[in-house]
Amino acid sequence: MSVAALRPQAARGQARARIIVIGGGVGGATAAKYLALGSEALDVTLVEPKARYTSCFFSNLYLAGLRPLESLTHGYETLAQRYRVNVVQDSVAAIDPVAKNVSLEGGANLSYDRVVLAPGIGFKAGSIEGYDDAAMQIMPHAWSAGLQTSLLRRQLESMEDGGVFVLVAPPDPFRCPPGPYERASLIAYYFKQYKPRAKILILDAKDSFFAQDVFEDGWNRHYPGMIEWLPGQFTGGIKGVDVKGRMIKTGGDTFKADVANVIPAQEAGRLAHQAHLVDQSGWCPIDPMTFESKLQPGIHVIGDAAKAGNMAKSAFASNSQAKVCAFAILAALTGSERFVPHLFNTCFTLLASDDAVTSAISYSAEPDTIKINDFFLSKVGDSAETRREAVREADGWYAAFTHDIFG
Amino acid sequence: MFIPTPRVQVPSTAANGEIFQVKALISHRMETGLRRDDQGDVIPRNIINRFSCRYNDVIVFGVDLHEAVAANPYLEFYLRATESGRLEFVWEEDGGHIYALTHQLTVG
Amino acid sequence: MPGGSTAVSATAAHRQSASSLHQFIALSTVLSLVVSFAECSFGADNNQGAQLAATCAACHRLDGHDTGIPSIVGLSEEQFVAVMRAFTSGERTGPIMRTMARSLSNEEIAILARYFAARGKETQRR
Repeated sequence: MSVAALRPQAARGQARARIIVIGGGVGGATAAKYLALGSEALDVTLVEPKARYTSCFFSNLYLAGLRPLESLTHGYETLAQRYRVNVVQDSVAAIDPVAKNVSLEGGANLSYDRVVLAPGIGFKAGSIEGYDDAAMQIMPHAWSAGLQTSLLRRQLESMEDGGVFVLVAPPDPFRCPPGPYERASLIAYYFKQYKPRAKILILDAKDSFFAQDVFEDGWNRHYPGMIEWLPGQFTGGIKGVDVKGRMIKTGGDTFKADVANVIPAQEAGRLAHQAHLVDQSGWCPIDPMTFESKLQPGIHVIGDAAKAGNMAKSAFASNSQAKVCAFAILAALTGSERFVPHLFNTCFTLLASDDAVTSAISYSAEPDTIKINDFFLSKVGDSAETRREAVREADGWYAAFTHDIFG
Repeated sequence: MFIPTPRVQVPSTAANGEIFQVKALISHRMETGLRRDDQGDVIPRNIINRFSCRYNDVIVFGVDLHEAVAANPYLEFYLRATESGRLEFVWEEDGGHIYALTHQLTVG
Repeated sequence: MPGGSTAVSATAAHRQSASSLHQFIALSTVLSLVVSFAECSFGADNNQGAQLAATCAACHRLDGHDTGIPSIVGLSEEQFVAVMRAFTSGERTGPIMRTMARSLSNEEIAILARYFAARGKETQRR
């Protein structure tokens, strides 16, 4: 059986609407796949500078030594071959919303009917004094997965037992609300086995964090005395870094790190700013029913960069938004029927190799915002078996989820 | 083994008569004594039940803490600088264990 | 007490459907090699079933593979509806599926049930 047999070709000579999806992360790749699957009448191009995508979600398992980095890496071959997405490996130079044209660094110009922009996050310049591109090579953020993640892993491996790992956690809103605290948990898991005298100090910009009681309970059970968390109100906030001395300056004390992981304040990725899609909040306002920008018609923004009401910035949320966006574009361009959009978020967070917590949130899209309908989060006092089962579910979810996006 | 870490943020110098802020934080689980473990047994209460600050051996700030106080109790208060000397911070845990820090203040 | 006996028989019906569910999972695993291309066709139309099923696809593979999260393709309409009811009522635990099931209307559950049942027949023919 051939693939072509399942996908009747569009009538020759018929003009196909052109969609350019920019960004090959979870949001962009999902949108490209569902747009291409949804109609033969669309010509879908995915522009992404990297040949392969490394998932930020589950990268803390790599830091813990629980997964190889290769297992988090995904290519675009299936999107290109099975779903006939034109995958272009290049960077976008500019988007011209008036001429409806995207120019690429490589020199090509692509005209479009719609753009789906999934630029991910950028770091707010100057939010931490001295934390520039060079500093990131010494004190990695590891908040976009790949080289930054492996750099942090190497630093943790070469740290001596008894050393101090300092994790700087960002202010809201940021990609993956449980992420910094899962990272502290799983690095503690690694230290417990290989460097039991090491300490972890979390310097938080915030005064509280997502599922704090669940994390603190896990830290007390698995790693008593190893992880210390200092809220912004105590330290006076994160002010700057001294890269040479591996020092982190707060409003009060300065802290010395043996290994430092600095996750700065975030905003919509660079391309969103270039295309004037960002409001004063630093994120992209969108219509929750279609994810079309409120600032530039014809451009849809999905994923972490979107200002999506109460939706968390997560891979699962990006995938969910991408589908709502794809079906809205299909309806607008091919006349397919529209239905009530379903937005959902699920998250598996590991506290140890046999202890995962889950959360699930359903949302409703309203004209001006996205509201939480229903919310579940694991609790302190769950049985050990419930938490072990969640680890097994997490593994199964990763395989199915990445298949939904890239497979 | 769980080892609470006491921390304070206090200026090292102050002008005579100046009002300055003190921040005190201890990483402590504040186990309420109301929870049960996997086996159904009550987890014994273990909280910081009192915090006090002495300024040259005179108590200038004190607070009793109870079960309802969240983990990692954080306190902020203000003192007036009158003379150079020693600030001593004491956290008292159930069972009598004490965690203490001292800080030298120079009033000029 | 009539109310009590009704509740008991309802529980028994759910148990029965749960065991058929396991049979179907086993069957779909056997079929998995045959159906690996089936996914290509699922969105070729954009009916409501396909659009709703896209939400399920974030956790459940729709090509018959089971990677630790059970396959739902191939459940009969009755089985699918019974499983979703068991989650909304709390009879089956599983917080993620409970949250998901509660976000769907009865009509949407019926549409999904028809969609997955039809897809199951489609994959068996291949």
